[in-house]
Amino acid sequence: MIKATRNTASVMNTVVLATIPATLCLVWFYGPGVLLNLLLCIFTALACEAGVSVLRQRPFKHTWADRSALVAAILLALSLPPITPLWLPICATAFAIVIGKQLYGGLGQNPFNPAMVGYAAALIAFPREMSLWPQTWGSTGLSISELSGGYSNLAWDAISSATLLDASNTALRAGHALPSIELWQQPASWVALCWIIGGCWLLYRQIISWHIPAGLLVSFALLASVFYLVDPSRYSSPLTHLFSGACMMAAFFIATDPVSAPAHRHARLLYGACIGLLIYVIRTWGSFPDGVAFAVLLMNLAAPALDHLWRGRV
Amino acid sequence: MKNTSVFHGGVKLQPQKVPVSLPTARLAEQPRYDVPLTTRGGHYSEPHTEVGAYVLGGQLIAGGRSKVGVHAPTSGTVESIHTDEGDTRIVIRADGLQQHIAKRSAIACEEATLDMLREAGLTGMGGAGFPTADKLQAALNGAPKLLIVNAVECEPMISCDAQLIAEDAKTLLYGADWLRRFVGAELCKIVVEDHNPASVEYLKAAQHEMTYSGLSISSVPTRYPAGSERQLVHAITGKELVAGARPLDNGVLVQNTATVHALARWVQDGTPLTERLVTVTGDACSQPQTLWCPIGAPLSALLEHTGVSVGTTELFQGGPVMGIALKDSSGAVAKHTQCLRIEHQSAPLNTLACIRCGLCSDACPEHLLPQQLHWQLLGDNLPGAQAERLPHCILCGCCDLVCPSNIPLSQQFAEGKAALRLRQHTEQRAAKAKRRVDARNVRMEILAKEKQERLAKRKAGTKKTDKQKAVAEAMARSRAKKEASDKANKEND
Repeated sequence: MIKATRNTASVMNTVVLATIPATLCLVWFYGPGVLLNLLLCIFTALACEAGVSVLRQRPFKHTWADRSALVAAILLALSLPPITPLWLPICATAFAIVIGKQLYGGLGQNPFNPAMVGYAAALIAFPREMSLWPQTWGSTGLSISELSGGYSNLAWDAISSATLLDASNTALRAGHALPSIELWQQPASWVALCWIIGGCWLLYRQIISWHIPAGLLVSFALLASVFYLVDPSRYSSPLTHLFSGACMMAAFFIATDPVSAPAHRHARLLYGACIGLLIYVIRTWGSFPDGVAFAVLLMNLAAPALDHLWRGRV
Repeated sequence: MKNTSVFHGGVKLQPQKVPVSLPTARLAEQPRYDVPLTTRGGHYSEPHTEVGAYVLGGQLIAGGRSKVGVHAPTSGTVESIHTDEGDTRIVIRADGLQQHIAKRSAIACEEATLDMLREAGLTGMGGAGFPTADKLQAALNGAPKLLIVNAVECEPMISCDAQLIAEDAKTLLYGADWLRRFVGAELCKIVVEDHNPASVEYLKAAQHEMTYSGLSISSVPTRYPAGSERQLVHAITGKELVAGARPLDNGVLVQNTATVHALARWVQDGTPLTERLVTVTGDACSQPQTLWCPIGAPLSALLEHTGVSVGTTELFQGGPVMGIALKDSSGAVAKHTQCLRIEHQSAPLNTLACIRCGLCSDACPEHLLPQQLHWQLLGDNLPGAQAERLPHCILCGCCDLVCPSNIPLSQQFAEGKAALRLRQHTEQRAAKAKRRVDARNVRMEILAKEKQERLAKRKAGTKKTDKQKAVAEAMARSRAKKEASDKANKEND
């Protein structure tokens, strides 16, 4: 039998490897809380997969073997704030795997990106806990024991601070000038760079095609440029937008999830472009700090329609 | 010789070809032959012979003129004519004398007719098994400009064409030139894959000797399925065939190497198609080789000849991509049998759910979206699958090769295509029946109307005929007369 060397598990393994730079970068800036989130999410995801498999009377070894839950768990963990209470990653992951993936029939059947389902659910249900981004690890002065145990005794406002996006948003609403932070000074820029590195590796290994990231980044950057050119005092520069928040992660790791994306390459370009547009709109005029999860989920909804519009003739 | 433009998609595969070795091996004379009467596409030829009849090698035993000819592979007696699972075979018990029918002189292409070619028993030997005469009939109507002799053999392992070119390139060129003139094409190209420079050398040497006009030798990059007609025409002419079009629509006729060679042998001295080259290979085969096998030779004899190790093996007819599994070795060599593969039993691949990664659509040479077809067929949505252009799938199996979830896509598509054809057939029949009933209803309506009109006319006619009018007038007159005479009588009284 002649068979391609690539299988679903190896595809997923490659994605896991591609998240390593961003993981290391997040740990460097935000400390071991990131790793704790990772552990919690992975453990919860595997437990949920096994649990649902038992309920559905399927062997859970097969479910684990495809590694898709692992990827969803890692992406979710890396988008959660690093000093969040312990139950949050568990709740978010359980929601992502059980409601977002397994209730639809498991691997390949979910219309929505499971990681984003978990993230959006957590963001709506626990907005305060979901905004606990420390400026950097050193600034919090917390130890891992404090993180895991005594969270209720801490004065959160003292240790957490707004991200650049938050600060820009607040300033915009209040009519103040935009915060003057240099890009390289905020951790998110370096994390974004790491996502780009991982994404380029995925492109090189042909795990993802260039269409969705290109569509997303181009439309996002164009939109940001237009508004920046119109009024630079009110709108952040396109570079600030690109290297803040989860834009790069969305472009290379979230929007490119093939299960919930359309199939045709033209449809993928448009799909990416619409996500870019929605991220900018939600970021700039919405009430949430970043729009990635909602933008991706909204376009997940549109994917079947795009599939219907572009048929054959790739 | 330059590499021409390549078609969309496809998969780069290791050729793993069975090496060519001269002289070509030949299967030993068998005591019994099961000559099939049905081509792969289901064209059946009526037998001419009877049980107990003595036949010579090359003698026509079924078909002819209007149907594909079937010839006895060697001399012997007809033991039985039996049908097994819809597949009719003539069983010939060989007498070991190997007497053959007399040879004749060469036929010029101006004298040849399609019926003669049909009688020669030629069918597509590249795997499809379509009657060559039928294809040439279309070609004569389509007036092709270019004839492509397809020696690409893009499936790994198979090396029938390479072996044939090494052994007898001259006859092949003769056949190619004859066919080019027969269909009236200006040019003829013999195409091989570029991993096989030896074939090009053999062909060039033969062409150097024969110097046919309008004949050239070219190669295409090694990429499966370069040997598929539509992809080959794209690679050679640089023009892609539009969806659903045949090569003839672009003025190209594609013929398989073995078919052209068989045609040449028949043209030269009247030798009909009674034997072909078969590659026997696979990891359970100790001496992989390509050998001449009479049509109808039992597959078990081929296995014996090539030293197949006994044990748990699986048998396939055809190459590693498109080959089909055989239940056992009870079958016989047919005109489209290119390859027999004997593999050690492998663990079945673990099929996972589709993750819509899109590798299949990158690989599809027909620009389809196999993952979308997969979903449509999974939901039994045949109209949806048709909208995704299922009928244009050429079943090359590229999607199977690249699928990370090991989904047997092309098998699903083959079933879907069959279901779609059946559905269309049923719909056509239903439409035809409806037209018939509608026509009948209209006819009955007209008849009923005419009848009514006739009745109405007759009824109206009874009141107003002249004769009756005259009678009535006469009666009225006589009544008046009578009344007048009565009146007169009364007055007289």
